[in-house]
Amino acid sequence: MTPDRFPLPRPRDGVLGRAVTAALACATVLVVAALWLSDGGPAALRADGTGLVTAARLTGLVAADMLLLQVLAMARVPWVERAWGQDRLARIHRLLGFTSFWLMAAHVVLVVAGYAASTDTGVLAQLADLVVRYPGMLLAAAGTMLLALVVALSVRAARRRVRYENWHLLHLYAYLGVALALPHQLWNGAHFVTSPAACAYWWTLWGGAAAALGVFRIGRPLWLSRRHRLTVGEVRHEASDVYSVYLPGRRLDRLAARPGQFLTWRLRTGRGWSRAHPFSLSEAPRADRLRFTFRAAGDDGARLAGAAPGTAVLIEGPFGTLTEGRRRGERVLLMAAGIGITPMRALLEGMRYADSELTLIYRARSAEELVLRDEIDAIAAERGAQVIYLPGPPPPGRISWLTAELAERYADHEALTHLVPELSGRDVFLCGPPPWMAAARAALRLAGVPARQIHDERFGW
Amino acid sequence: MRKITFFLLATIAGLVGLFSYRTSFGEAVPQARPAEAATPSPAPPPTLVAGGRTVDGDAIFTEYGTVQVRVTFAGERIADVAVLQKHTVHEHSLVLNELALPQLREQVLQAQSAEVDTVSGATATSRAYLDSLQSAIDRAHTR
Repeated sequence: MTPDRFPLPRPRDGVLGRAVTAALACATVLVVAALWLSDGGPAALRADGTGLVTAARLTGLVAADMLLLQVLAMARVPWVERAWGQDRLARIHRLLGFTSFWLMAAHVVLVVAGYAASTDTGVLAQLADLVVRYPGMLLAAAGTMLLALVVALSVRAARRRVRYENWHLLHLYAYLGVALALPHQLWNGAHFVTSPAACAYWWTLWGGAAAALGVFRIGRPLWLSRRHRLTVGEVRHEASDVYSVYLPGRRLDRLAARPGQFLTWRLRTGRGWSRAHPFSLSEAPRADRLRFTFRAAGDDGARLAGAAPGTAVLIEGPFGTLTEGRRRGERVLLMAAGIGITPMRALLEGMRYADSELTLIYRARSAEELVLRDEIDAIAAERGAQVIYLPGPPPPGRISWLTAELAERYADHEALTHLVPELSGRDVFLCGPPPWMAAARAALRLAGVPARQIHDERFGW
Repeated sequence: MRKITFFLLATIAGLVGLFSYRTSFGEAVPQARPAEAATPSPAPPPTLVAGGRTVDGDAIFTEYGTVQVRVTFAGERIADVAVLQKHTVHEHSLVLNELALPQLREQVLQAQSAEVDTVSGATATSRAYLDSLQSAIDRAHTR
């Protein structure tokens, strides 16, 4: 029995926030559907010769609404971030993105076909007529092309071939594409031309989205950066290509970053300073200092590793929900692989737990790659945590969370039960490469850990 | 940063180009008239019918605007239908007016009633036109 030595925080896993934001999002779709219904949508769908144009309207309205939701999902609105977590928001954004693109494509095809049929014009002539003559349609055509470009670049096969920074830069054209597509809705959409209320609603929604972007993607980060005045204090080489950056700053308690969270960092070195990197805090945040640890991949890694002391740092965040807020019980298992140790290292230090209630499993490809080991040992000794280091190459031929050596002797889930006492009652926090996390999660489930006790964040770049 | 500056300038140039086009501020480019109509075709002259009388139909409001017709009767016969108000809400309504209104007039004069087919693709325009026409016919008969 664990005596009630400290109060566990109430699980804040954001169920309420998710319910409210999801309901609001659905409401916006219902409103545009109601607009369409109130104009006699279903009747016109069956009527002679107007079916195509009526269907075009519905697809256009829903596509536009989804574009709006997509923008909002990425606007970094703090309470939305807290409810969903950035990883899930990114996946929702992707899903909405592709759905709205196909709806938009359907809208274009249906309008052109419908108008062409009713005026007895050729399809291409009708398309040209629409783009050239109708108000706002040249803008809409340009917007459509920009959105098509962004979608094409986001298809996984294409995305892998483009450097992230370039992809991200081009992805910003989605904002422009969405904005250029807006006027034609207000100038040609019968709902908006005839109903001032509908028009006001649409303007409010889009104005709100633009304001949210301005405030939370630009204003707030600038204000935070100014308030905390973080600079590079020291860059410490940890192992092969892993570095820790120590960042002194002011009033960091007000930032309210929690262990397990990450921030987006912009180091104002010379060239390339505008590139932002999301890195986890690798120690519990202090009032006068933050630290992140990263693997220096690519030339931009070299730029960060070479940042001179005194370099100013711009921040966005803190983001992420892999924090103590997800915790449900007293016992905890932290599982890290490779550079995934960073948030686990912060949790090891910052979580509330009593002697022997917390176990950390740390996988790496070799003993040399067990970075931060000294400080992990020191914290474990002081707090009474158990640490299991598992260095060694992964088994050939199958994906496992284990080393090759252990994988010969144990099945994935058996190893867990052997290594970790009282496994099934623990909250498990996972961080590592996505295939490793998938293997670990599968092993945990087989070993009897309920899914609601397994906490991770999956970022899929 | 150099790359960003380049993209930014190119984007601004593109936007300036786009917004220098007249439709980009909400205007529509008027329809080009077919060649034979280059000489302003006189509005269908109100057919002068001896003893003819004109009756206005109801103004019919739809999501695309208002439609109202004026019917000229020669005795019991419908001698002509003129359009007083027509749909103006968006560009496509104007296209449909050009297409559907003359066609409807022809059909009505032939059938001598408002019970004719709607023009395909211009259902709302047709219905409004025929409703207004029907109200004029009703009014003419109750006088």
